[in-house]
Amino acid sequence: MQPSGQATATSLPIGSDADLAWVRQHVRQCAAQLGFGLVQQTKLVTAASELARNTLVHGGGGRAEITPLDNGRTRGLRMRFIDSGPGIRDLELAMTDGYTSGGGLGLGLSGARRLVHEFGVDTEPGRGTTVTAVAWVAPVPSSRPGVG
Amino acid sequence: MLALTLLLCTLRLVVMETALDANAELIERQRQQLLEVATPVIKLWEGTVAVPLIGTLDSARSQVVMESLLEAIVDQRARYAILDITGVPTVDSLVAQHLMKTVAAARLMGAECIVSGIRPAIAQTIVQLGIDLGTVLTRASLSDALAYALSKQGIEVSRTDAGASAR
Ligand SMILES: Nc1ncnc2c1ncn2[C@@H]1O[C@H](COP(=O)(O)OP(=O)(O)OP(=O)(O)O)[C@@H](O)[C@H]1O
Ligand SMILES: [Mg+2]
Repeated sequence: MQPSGQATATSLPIGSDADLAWVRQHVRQCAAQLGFGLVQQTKLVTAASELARNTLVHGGGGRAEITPLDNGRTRGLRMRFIDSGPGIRDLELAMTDGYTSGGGLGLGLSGARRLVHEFGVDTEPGRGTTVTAVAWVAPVPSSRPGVG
Repeated sequence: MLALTLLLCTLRLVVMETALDANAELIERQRQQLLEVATPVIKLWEGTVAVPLIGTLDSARSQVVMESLLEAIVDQRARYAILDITGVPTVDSLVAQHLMKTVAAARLMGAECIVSGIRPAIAQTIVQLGIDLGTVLTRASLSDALAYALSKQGIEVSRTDAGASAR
């Protein structure tokens, strides 16, 4: 993922339910401006909602970085959710459908991964968690690499 | 073009931020008011109630919806309750969980719940998220849900001769 255009991120705070609504709204409007179709917009907003809520609920708050991308062939959106909370001890377990450490459905992380084209989690116990999700307007067919 | 998009995103953000600072308290107060106002339970027919949900379905909102729906089920002796989500822009795992809890609670009160108004983009997203709404009765639109509830109660809606010729 090498954006040829300069990646200017928009940083949004995640500290309350109202902030979550704001992140969703921002992602929806950016996605629409970048040329994402309605279904893709809905998927991006839903993924953002899941990941931002994890940042709030499990990470104790943090911020979202929303960055428009252009790889020269198509445009995309990178969403990064950053907290300095407890981190995820067992990432494989956390990524399992249905696993929750609270009373959730346990579909936020694993579901969000399916809603985007590139997905990566950078976490360290005691240090925090950064989740990165990228979607492209016109993805290269059958290429779904992960991000570090 | 990308630069323009970036600029627009950034500009809008600045505008939003300024507005929020100035009106944070007002917005919070209005949000509280909306909590109460925006969840009317409507009696559609004898034994059938409906809630048209509009906007974000966060935990506080869901709690209010559930309470007023259960209350209406008792008051109206409703056997059928319709949750219409046409006006809900995002259905993520938390919203889905709230919906399922409301359906389960209504069931305990002796009412069957029907969720209507799941738009195509939302349906696709729900499936990919992995949410299983298999136990929830759904209909495409509020009118389909009403037709279902009526027919289950043995009520038939038909066009009279007069109505047909007037068309
Ligand atoms: N940012 C984070 N910091 C720490 N732990 C996290 C973070 N994000 C996720 N987790 C852990 O991963 C688990 C799975 O997350 P996931 O979003 O899939 O489920 P959930 O949040 O528990 O429920 P829901 O389906 O409502 O999202 C969480 O229960 C939590 O233990
Ligand atoms: Mg979650």
